[in-house]
Amino acid sequence: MKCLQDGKELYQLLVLPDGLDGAVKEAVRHARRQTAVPLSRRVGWAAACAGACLCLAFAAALNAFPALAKEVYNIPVLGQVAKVVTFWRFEEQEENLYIKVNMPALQNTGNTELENRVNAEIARKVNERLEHAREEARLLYEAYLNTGGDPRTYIPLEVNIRYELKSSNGQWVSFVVESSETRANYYGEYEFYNIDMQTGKELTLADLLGEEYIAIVNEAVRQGIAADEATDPDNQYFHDELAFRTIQPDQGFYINEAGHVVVVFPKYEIAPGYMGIREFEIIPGNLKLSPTS
Amino acid sequence: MTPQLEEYILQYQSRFYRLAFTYVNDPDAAMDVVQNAIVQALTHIHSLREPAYMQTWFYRILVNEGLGYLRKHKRLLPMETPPEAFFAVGGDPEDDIARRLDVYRAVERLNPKLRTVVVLRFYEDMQLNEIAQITSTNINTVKSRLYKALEILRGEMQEGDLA
Repeated sequence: MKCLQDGKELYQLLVLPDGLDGAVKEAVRHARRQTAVPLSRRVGWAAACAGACLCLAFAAALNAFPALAKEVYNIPVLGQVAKVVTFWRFEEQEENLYIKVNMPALQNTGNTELENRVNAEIARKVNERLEHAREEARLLYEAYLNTGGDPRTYIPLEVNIRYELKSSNGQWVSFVVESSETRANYYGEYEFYNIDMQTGKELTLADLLGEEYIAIVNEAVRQGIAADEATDPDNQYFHDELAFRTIQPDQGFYINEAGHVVVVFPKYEIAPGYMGIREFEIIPGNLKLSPTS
Repeated sequence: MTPQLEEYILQYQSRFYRLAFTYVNDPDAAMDVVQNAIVQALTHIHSLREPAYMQTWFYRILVNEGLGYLRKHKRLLPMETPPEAFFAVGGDPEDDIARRLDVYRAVERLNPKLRTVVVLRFYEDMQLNEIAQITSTNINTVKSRLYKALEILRGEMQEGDLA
């Protein structure tokens, strides 16, 4: 194969990027963090589920979500949020899909209508996500078997839906829901919830930063990018046609413990993939809300 | 198993990168593919029952990542084939870059399944049975893909000096 030898020579001359070693080590570290949460969780949850029958027809159960949450996992999160946010979770191993869900639920807010609405919305999204994952898991598994794959060595698709509470107090609750599928790719999708506990409405950037919010956020992001790049040459953002210009109407953000808005850009949006998710805190001055403490 | 796998990954990262590159033709995307494969492998090491298969097992994940990335991000990937600038070739005019680039690009134009087999066989010097394991297929599928790929490549390289 004279000719392919030419191709091989070039293949071996491919320039390796400077960031490769760093990126590889970062991935190893990331994996260590991931696995630091013991995988024995599977066993643990199987046991925990047994009594509660959580796994039984959980899709249907999710539709009646508020009741489920109260009934089964009325476990308060520690700290100041104990009164408002509880969470529920389940794990399930299906034939070709491993599901792990860990989600928040509002309770004791004094506003039942608000709780029901938010909780139902969360449940709807979880359900939607799971349906999609089931379909994808089925297709992947079929494709694997059709190409002669051995069922014994199949790695099931893993879908993980979880939340991170960013801040909570009498005025607002802010949390991020991440759903990720691990197999073809390790990417998360994010949804941001910032709820005004007085009115029950979702807080917007305009509510928090005033009418000039677009200019304020854009400036903060531009400064943040410049600062990041100045601190480390490995920090690179897009500078060509993909460069950050302005925030989008559906710009994701959360409110941190300090009461500051933090805008979040998914992987690839404003920087190369290896930079991952980028976040920029908007240091106040114009904030209309402040934490009650 | 984790320490062995970590060591293996750190040692052969450049090979993984090159292989990933054949799918995405973009440095950042190739690094992403490698990172994703690493995270997936290390977090799923418990599913590897036979330590002797660690390498083919890792390659299988890497190939899956490459194919998956290609699927999900096709419109974000600017180039079907890479420019010369991505290769460490000197400015020596005697260096027959054009010919080598022709071959490399012809391989890149193969559909991803055929390309995978060619790259693993001819660039990575793997055995057909290893390729079968990596691509989750059987050896006959690998052979037929290889023949088909070579046929296409022969057609593309008019000189016909492939074989």
